Amino acid sequence: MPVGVVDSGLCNLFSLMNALKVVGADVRRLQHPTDFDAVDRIIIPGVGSFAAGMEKLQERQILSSIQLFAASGKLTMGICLGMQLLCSRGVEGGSVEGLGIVEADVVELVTNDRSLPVPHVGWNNFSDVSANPLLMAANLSAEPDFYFVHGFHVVPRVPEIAVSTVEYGAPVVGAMARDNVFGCQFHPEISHINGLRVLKAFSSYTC
Amino acid sequence: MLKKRLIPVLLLRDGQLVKTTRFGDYQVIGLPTYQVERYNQWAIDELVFLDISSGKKYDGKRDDLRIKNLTSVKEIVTAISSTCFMPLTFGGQLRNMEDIHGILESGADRVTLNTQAFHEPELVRRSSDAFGAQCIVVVIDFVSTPEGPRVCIDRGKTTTDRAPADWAREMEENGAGEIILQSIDRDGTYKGYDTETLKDVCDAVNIPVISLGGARTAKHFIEGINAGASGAAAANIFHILENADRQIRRQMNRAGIPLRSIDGTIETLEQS
Repeated sequence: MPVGVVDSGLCNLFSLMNALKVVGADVRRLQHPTDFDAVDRIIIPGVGSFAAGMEKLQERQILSSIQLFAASGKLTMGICLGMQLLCSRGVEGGSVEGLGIVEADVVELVTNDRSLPVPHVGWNNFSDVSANPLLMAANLSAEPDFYFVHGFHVVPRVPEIAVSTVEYGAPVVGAMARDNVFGCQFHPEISHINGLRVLKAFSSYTC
Repeated sequence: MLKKRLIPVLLLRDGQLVKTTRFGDYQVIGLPTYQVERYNQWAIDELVFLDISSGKKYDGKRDDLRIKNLTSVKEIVTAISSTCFMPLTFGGQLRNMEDIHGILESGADRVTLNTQAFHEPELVRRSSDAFGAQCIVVVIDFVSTPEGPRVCIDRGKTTTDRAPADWAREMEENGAGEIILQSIDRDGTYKGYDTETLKDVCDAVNIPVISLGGARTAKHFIEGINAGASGAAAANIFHILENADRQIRRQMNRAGIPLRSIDGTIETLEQS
């Protein structure tokens, strides 16, 4: 079951592709629309700003490839910025339309608390992942820590999106799930053992 | 809740890992890629590599040296990031967008800017806009002077007239996502952090501040966190003191500092 990793040229795929190989996945790089035919699940990674991310996807002309893939019911996962790009709209770098696969907005993370700096950087934990079938399938340790590094966060528009939150002042969406579409705000490829467990689960998951 | 971070800083000089005292007195420790897998086994939360190689002070006439060094540095970044499943920050000698992009492309999750940020604050802005603020870490080195702490650049060779707290604020305004505050006076002395300056800088900004310079014992790390740092870093101990990582971690936990739970090694994943 080959896993495709969307290569938009915005960020390095190194860590992610390596991590996927370590957990035994057959990994392919997706650069052109035709590349999507060879895989049965895709990951959209992401580092950078929302506006720059969408611009890169547009340049590569793979926006609709991703949208069609998700719409066809195949497994689709966004990581960090990639999770944010799945949403309807983001504000980083100007108000920009996202992929629109998940009805949600990406807004600035504000804590109004000196002891909680922004961006949200470091290891934070979920206390409850039961809403997310993928995280449940990953056999995570109790209160698992993952590495987060982001200054914007996802706010769903509809209740159908199952969210798992981490505590940072207020609850912040750390992961989301809706049918075949998943999102991890954290970076599984640099979250040590728990991150690798999530990637392993994704590579063998069946909806 | 967000945990505090324990961060080894590894200094690279001409391709070798070194230990320093007050930014001088280089002692070679070994090769960075020797037993890279070890880094996964360390009970730490993030890796920072700083390239402090010689002869790379930016000089247009010797661009060939700089490019050659940068290429080998990228190879090191790639080697480490391909086996290390935790965050990797890499910096030192980065001068422009191309350098930054190159390091990120090679596998680093974040980059550091120091001297160039001082000469060209707009580079912080531009790279922050392009790659995201969370990717851009500004390192602020400082020394004590009769007028108070002052920012240094060029690996300590030049003392500026800026105070660290003030400079940190300006870097935050320019889009820096994090600050690493390093005391040159304390570097390698094992006397603990300069917590007074650290507190001033932490109070001045709303972005995370990592403390570096002088730490050796758990007490030092705890003092740094209590002064407001989001993470406590050390450049000269993890390779040298056996089990420093686990001992320090245990004591920090006992002092009530929240750290990520270390559970399982990468090897155990094969069995799960």
